[in-house]
Amino acid sequence: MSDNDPAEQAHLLSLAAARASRQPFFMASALEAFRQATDTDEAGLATRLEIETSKLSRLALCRRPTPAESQSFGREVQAIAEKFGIAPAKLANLLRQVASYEADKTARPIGLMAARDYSEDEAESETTESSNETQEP
Amino acid sequence: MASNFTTRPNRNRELSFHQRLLAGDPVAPSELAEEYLYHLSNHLKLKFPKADSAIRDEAAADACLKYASQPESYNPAQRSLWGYLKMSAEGDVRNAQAKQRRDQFRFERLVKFEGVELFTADGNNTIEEDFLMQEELTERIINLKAKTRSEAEAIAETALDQTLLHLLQAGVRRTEEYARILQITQLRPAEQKRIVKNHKDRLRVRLKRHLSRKPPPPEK
Repeated sequence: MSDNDPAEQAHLLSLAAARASRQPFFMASALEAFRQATDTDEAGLATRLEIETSKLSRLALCRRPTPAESQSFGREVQAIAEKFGIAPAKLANLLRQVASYEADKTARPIGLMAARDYSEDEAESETTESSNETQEP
Repeated sequence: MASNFTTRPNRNRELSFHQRLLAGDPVAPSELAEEYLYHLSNHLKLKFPKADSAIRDEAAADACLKYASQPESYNPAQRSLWGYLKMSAEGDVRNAQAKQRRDQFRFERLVKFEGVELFTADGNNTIEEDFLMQEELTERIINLKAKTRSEAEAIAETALDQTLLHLLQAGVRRTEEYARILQITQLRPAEQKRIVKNHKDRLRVRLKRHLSRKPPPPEK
């Protein structure tokens, strides 16, 4: 496709990726869910996956690997990772994180979930300490 | 495959794509889009030169996405993949154009049956009556025409205007609601009303400009 206009090609792929983000079939849906959950922009997403931003649209148009429990998950992640030069572990972690987020019915953002879990642990620990202190004579 | 799609694409490569999609190859949809999307868009440009470029590009994208996610809907024995994608995209363009014409027709009929010249006082009503009539008409037209987020954004360029437009779309009429968004609740009520009206009028002018764009005539 050497005679393609690169800017036009990039625009079309970006448009297709945006439309694909509404369909769970495509990787785009997982990338968009991750972006929203972590309040990350495209550059941040590319940094996390260690790929060029220009490759994100093509990555988004891949089929989203089936859930992490499936036997084919590793193989599919590997195929996508190889195609785009991503570390398979990074891609797998992102997909698992998104699956976890999507499973959370309350749809709490991932960052807030982590913060809240930490706070709850802290709070519990503080409560115990506080209660121990009050029991002391 | 030939880079110029004026020649028939390689049949074996088409079949290879189809088999990979049926087998669930995760990177096949991306490669399909990379290979066909650009040429599909160019084909639609030639076929529907007067259609909005956005309609053409979305139709090209949707044709690729639909096929990639439902490859079993294509029967290689009936036609080539390139022919199938063209047919799918052309159908989407025609549907989108028909919808555009229907919306335009509804809009014109609405204005005609309301007996109101859009955004123009007829001289027989009080200013308040004209204002209310225009406001109601505006809301109905907004709901009719600005259904999608992109259209709303075309009318309201700033986040503030988008919020005001959403209030209009939601049928909110109370000045207090708009004043709160505009952060002018500390002003006297009359002053608040005047400022809110100015903002609504400004949005109406944008709306009028947006709606005055004629849809393209049907193309064969």
